Amino acid sequence: MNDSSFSRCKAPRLVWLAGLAMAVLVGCTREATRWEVEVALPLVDDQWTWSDVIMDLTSDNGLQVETGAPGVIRFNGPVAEWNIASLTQLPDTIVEQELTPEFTGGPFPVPPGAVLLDTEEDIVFQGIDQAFTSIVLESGRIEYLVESSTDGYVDLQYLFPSVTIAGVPVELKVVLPPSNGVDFQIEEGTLDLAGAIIDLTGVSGNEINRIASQLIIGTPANIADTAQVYGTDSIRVRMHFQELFVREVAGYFGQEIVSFDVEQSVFNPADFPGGFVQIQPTRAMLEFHNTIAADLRLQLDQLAVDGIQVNHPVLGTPQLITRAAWNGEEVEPAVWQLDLLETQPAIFDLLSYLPQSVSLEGEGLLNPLGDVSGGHDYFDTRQPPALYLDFEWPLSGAVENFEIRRVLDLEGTDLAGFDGELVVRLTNGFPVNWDLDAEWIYADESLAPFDLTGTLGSFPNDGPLELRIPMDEQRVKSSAELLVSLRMRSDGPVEFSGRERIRLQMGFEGFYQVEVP
Amino acid sequence: MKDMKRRVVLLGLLAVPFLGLAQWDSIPWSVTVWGQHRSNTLDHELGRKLVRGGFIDQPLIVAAGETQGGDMGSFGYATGLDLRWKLNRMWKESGARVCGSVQVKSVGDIRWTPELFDLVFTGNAGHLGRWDVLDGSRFRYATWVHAAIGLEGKYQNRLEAGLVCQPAGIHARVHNGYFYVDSEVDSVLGYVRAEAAFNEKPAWGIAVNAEWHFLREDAPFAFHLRLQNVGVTFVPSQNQFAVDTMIQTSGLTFAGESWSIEALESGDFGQGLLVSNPAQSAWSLLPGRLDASFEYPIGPRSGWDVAAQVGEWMPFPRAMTGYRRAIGKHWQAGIQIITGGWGRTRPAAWARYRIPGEHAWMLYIEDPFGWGTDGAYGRGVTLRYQSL
Repeated sequence: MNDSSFSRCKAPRLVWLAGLAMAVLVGCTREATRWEVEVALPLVDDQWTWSDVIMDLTSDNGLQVETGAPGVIRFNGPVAEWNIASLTQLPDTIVEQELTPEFTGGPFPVPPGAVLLDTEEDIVFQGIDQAFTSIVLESGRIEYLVESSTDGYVDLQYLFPSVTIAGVPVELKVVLPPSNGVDFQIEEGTLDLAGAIIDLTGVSGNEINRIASQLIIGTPANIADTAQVYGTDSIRVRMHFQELFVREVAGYFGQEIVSFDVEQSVFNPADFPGGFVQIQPTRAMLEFHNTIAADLRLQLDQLAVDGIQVNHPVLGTPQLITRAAWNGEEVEPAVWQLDLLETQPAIFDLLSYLPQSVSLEGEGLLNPLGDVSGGHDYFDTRQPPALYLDFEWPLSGAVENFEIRRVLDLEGTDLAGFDGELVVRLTNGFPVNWDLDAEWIYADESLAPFDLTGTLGSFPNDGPLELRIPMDEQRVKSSAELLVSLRMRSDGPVEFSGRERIRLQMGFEGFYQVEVP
Repeated sequence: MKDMKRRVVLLGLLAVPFLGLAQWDSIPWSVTVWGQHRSNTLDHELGRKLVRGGFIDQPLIVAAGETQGGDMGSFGYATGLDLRWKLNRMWKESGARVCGSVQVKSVGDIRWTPELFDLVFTGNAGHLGRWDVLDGSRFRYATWVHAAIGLEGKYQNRLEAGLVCQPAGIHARVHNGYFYVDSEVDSVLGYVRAEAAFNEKPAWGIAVNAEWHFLREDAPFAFHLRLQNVGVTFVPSQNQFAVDTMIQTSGLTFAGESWSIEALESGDFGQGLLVSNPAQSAWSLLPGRLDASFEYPIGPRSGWDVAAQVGEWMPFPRAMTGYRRAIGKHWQAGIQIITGGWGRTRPAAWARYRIPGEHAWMLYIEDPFGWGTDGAYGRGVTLRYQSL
């Protein structure tokens, strides 16, 4: 055997040996690699401040907590708006026109470019008690339907020179093809009127609630087709003005009486089930801001807290509120005030018991003195008349079992083999005691709920309250609801700085099985 | 598939001279296959479970941690095949012979700090309040084929240059990294500045091999220098990732746009932390290696060897020294002590069977005791056939 023949027969063995060596080194089978680690990590660090405690009182941003000695809760913002439906939506209106020949028999040829009808007339909005001269629409549309039985092309133009969108007049132009003599040729569609500025003074310019329009019907000049018209032919057009919501309106708004009923939710029982918080505001002014450029006579008849009526000298007495001054897009509202500190019984004594709602009933009369502006009333629906509250509450007083409830939704996490604890640490920054009741309810019903109870001692005397919740793989995996109930109580009057907060920290400590597939 | 065909054709063309010349009877050639893996921390049992799976018991992890101590942990492997040839006939009148080689190699290297080992295998609960340093932890892997052709001159001095194809390459490195959870478990700080990349398409490049031997009949010793796979490759498409972020928090709030439980559940958490640059081109160095060895005869049939190797991503130079002895007419054997590379000091043994003028076989076993026990930290084997 020479060298080359030796190499030829040995080479495959070398490759085989190399493969065998690799198999010995690395191995051929593979299963998941697993090991256990012990982890301890913070998970949640959140806090509840005064803003969170009372956030459900109002959704407006006017709420502020000013720190100090004592701290002060301030609110200055709208609590209710006054909607006047008759000024904000126009009734739907349908306009129909039909053109029929004034002869019988036929056919009579009509050459291209001929005009059969050219008429200007007002479209009158029915069912409006006010005398509007102009409006700007927030939204609205015209749904049109054009029909023709003519044996020839029909050119229809419906022009609205007093309706403009971005400075361009709205118009409908339709060319209908010849009818087959049996069925009407039909075209229908929609014209969007969002943002349209509409002059409602009609063709003459001296009317009210009317849109000037021009209807032209003929044969198209650019189609070389002679229409054959019979006495039985007709061309119909139908315009349906729909869902016209107003952004701005001007004219004379008439003497309409509009009810003024406000029910303001204060303490939601789901979040504030009960207790007593002594509320002694230093300022509590209820203000009515008239933003309509029209006089108003407002008469508030009843003010009640959870159905308990309180009295005030102005209740039942008509109040004349003058028109707002509009300068361009700026408004200077006319303001009428009612001092809530003058009620009998004191309304805040009632509010201290965490009522569910405060209601105010009354009515307003527009233009009580008639058309004193000469038809120049004006209303911008983006800035409606509203009740404002200007409120200042120093945070001091007694607190008895003031309870706050919150529900935290927790998603499950897949942590295979986890076995440990969820460590919950609550630090109280309030100078009063809090009693904690919490229940951890798992979506997996086979898992028993876990109850947590404890007392958070007053700041700065007591340290944090630490609670440990046993956790395992199944409990971590299940989504859950954490129902938290905190009750605040003080021994007599106490002063808060506004900086108080409850800090909630959550972390987990335990063993977790790592798996590498 | 098209790339694969192109690679096969190109490497085939490079092998043509050898295949053609292989028809001649008198071409000295050799082929070597080898494989070795080693760690300074992971013993066989732990390594086997990491590679082949199974539950890793805590005592194994504790023992590995104690073995690592305060050193940087390392694990590496190198395996490959080296086919070398040369012509007997001189090239023109140069006094040199045409020679060549085809090498297929794969090298992997993993490093980790003791703190990273703790974090991964024991968790962080056991060392709250300690700064875990992750600097320098890395992973890299490359497989390549190097086909080269060159000239071999007097004293077997040799210089080759050739083409490299690297079908796979990955690297990831933590330049700086810290992790800290305070002893009250109410704050965590993590910082990572790291980068990673993997080749989406094969890289191509050039590399050289060179050998210089001091072999003199009048000198009682021999000295060898050998340079392998020194070159660069160009990756036309590489996916690159980078992160340079510090996170310090005492926990998440329940609600919020980004740093909250709400964002975590909606999937918006951590957006923008990782910078991704797909399909980038890049240059990279091949993990070349330099070997230096010294042989000194102690007696007529025995000798003393000293060798050192650097490169090939080894964290430390690999140094070895040993004793060799001829046994009978055909056999030669030796024992060695090796230190450095990816592991700690270990023994090695080898044997060579040679029929003069025909061929020789050589088997080299690194850490022979590692073949039968779970307590060793690596093993290696080299098999060489050489036609004479």
